[in-house]
Amino acid sequence: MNAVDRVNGPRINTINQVILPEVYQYTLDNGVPVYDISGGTQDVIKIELVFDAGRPYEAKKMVSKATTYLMKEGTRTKDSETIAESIDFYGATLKTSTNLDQIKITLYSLKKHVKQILPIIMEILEEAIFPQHEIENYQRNSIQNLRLDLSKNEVIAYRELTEAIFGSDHPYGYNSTEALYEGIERANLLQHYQQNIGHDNLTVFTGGKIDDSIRQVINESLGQFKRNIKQTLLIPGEPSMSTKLQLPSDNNYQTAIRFGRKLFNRNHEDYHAMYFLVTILGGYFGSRLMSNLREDKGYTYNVYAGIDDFVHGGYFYISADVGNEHVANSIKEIKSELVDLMEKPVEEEEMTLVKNYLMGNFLNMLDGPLNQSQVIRSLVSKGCEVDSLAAMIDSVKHMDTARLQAAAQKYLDPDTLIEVQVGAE
Amino acid sequence: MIEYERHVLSNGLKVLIHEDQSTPLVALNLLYNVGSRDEDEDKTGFAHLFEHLMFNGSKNIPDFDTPIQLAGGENNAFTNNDITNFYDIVPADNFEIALWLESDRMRDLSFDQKGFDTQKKVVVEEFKETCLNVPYGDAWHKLSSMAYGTHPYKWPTIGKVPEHISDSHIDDAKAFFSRHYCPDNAILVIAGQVQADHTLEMIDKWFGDIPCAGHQKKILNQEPAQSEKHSETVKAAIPAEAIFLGFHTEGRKHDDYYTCDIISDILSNGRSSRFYQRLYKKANLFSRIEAYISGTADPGLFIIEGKLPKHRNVHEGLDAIWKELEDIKQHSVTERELEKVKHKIESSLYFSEVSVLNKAISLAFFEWLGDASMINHQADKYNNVTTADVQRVAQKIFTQENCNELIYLKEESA
Repeated sequence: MNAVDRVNGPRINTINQVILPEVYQYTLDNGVPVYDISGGTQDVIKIELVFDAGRPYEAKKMVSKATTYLMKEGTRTKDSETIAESIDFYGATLKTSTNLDQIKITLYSLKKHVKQILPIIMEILEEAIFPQHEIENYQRNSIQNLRLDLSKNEVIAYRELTEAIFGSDHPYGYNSTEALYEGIERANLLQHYQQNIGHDNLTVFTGGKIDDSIRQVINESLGQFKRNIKQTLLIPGEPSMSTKLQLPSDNNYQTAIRFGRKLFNRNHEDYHAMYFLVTILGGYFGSRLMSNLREDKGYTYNVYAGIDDFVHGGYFYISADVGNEHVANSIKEIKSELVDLMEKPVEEEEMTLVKNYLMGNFLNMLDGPLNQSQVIRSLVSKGCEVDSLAAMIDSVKHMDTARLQAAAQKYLDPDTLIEVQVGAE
Repeated sequence: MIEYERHVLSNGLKVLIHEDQSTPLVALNLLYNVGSRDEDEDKTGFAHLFEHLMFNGSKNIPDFDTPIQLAGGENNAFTNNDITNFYDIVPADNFEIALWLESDRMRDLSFDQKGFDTQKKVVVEEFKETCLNVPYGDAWHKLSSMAYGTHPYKWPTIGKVPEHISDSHIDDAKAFFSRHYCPDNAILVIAGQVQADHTLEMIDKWFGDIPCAGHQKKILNQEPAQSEKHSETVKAAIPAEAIFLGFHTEGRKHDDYYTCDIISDILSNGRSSRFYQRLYKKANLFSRIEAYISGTADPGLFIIEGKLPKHRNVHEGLDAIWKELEDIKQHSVTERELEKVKHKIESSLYFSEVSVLNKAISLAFFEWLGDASMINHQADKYNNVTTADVQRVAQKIFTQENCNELIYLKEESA
């Protein structure tokens, strides 16, 4: 029996290896690529269809989001309720969503029911009719929800920040408005659907207890889908300028503080360094911003820094909701943390901590076939290869302080950031 | 079927071990049998504040988070009315780090004045962020104090008022720790890539010498049956008028709990549910409406929450909700609807067991309720519910006398 050494604790083993998902890549009869990750202990399956059909391809603002929602609200033979009921009946979840770049259809189902549900998905892909009353319903409910959302400081702050970063006519920058919802017409939706939901811009991701019988039913349905797309990509280039926006609000206890700037997509040479750097700054519980603003000073419940990345760009942000009496001090501390990263190299001890934290985080993100499928989908749909995951993990393992400091000087200068405050005047 | 070993250490710590060799991770879940229901009415919010203090370091470990992050792990905690629950998820190689950390803070937590003061401020900011700075953020405060007169469920876990937190004293924290944070008042679950016998030895090594405190559970006053409708109307700066209804139900271990959960799913789980189709989509009486159960161990609440669009008023909304409830009381639900909801529950049980952390949290929770093996009987409990049960329970709970009604109206602007 070992003596208990409570002072030093057990030895911490460095995580050197992350077991990468085994991705089986194949194509369906119609040429649609499939990224297939099979395994797990439960008889569950996730199937995700990703179409390059988001905002960058819109002929009119908000049309990709409306198409996403409404394509499951009526087909030639089934009304909205029938579609919803036939999926719910099998205990499955079918979600349509958009991440700005893409339209996604995601199915979570027990393995035994997949065969019954795929024909419904096929109807949605081939025979959506966008009934007028469903469109009006969507417009009305979206406007009601927008009003509810606009009563929250955090929502206003997010909208202001992303609009300032990308510009109010950019696909990643423009915001929904009541007028935009009201302006959606059935013809816009039909056009977006027919020109952007096709087999030649579709990628399929599957995870869970996949076997040949499941692959066969996928090929018999999704593999037979045929529609040629006719797309125009529209990405205006607009630099973000440093600016300060201050907005009043009815919520008088706290102020939402945001900083941000335009960055780049995942294929950029500085992406890995920024990913690491932003983790140090505000990406985990032990981060510099959390230690300073929350754990040392108690200004906020949560402060966070992160990167949102898309196919054609990305941005960096810091967010904190702080008590009104702490606004000036919080801003001062945030700026001093940014300057610190520019001026001083990160110490070895913190480098080791963040490397180990991120390696453990990769293990977590890649635990089980459903999570693995999500990671692979996120990479591939952002224009990266499957093996870029190994490159990313390798880059974290070998990150050096000089690269981080150079990135901080290039991207984190507080004078170059956009600043947003929503709260008490 | 989730298999596990169960042991009780000589100091009273209950231990459950579940092996799952399919994951490279190990989850540790440590549940303490203390929640906001164990607080004094004039010192509320303390159990949750104390959860924050547990991260301020212990005798041999100045900071809880650094070693777990160095080990490649993550950790967090939550507090509710009934329990305080801490969990760590770490790479299997470094699993012993979690045992070291959790045992050291159970054994000998540090109480430093600065750390205590900072966490009070953090929790006051959390109070503002979740309850004061958002529309309807005080709804749960109002609804629980309306529904409960006796039972300590009458205040929310965050606390009645921020002053209870900012006024608390470090001596309260010390007393709270020695009373509640002892091995005989805790349940430890290990799940993941472990060998059960070796794991038990390691647990005994780290936790075995923590003294048993002879914990005595406070006997709570149970809530008497409600005999008349409670109602409150609030005028506030809100984006839309809103209705909150709370009906008393049975506790978590009662068979009617499962029936209530099924009724809430029939009303609002999924896009084919009754509320979604009838009240939201077709009639547009609501812009959002949902039904759910509070899920507490002692008798809880069945809650209906709806936001009204501009052109509708609360009377129309209330009439429509009651019409739906009367429909179930008179006609129950169809066999197909019941089957649909059972399929959904079956699915969500399967999906929840994908994650080793979820399994650890659930095992600890069911052990706390009285028997960890309940984890393997949940599907049966739901499957046993019949359309007759649905009608019987609806008739029992959806009455005016059993109803707590909270209405938000827009404040007239000056």
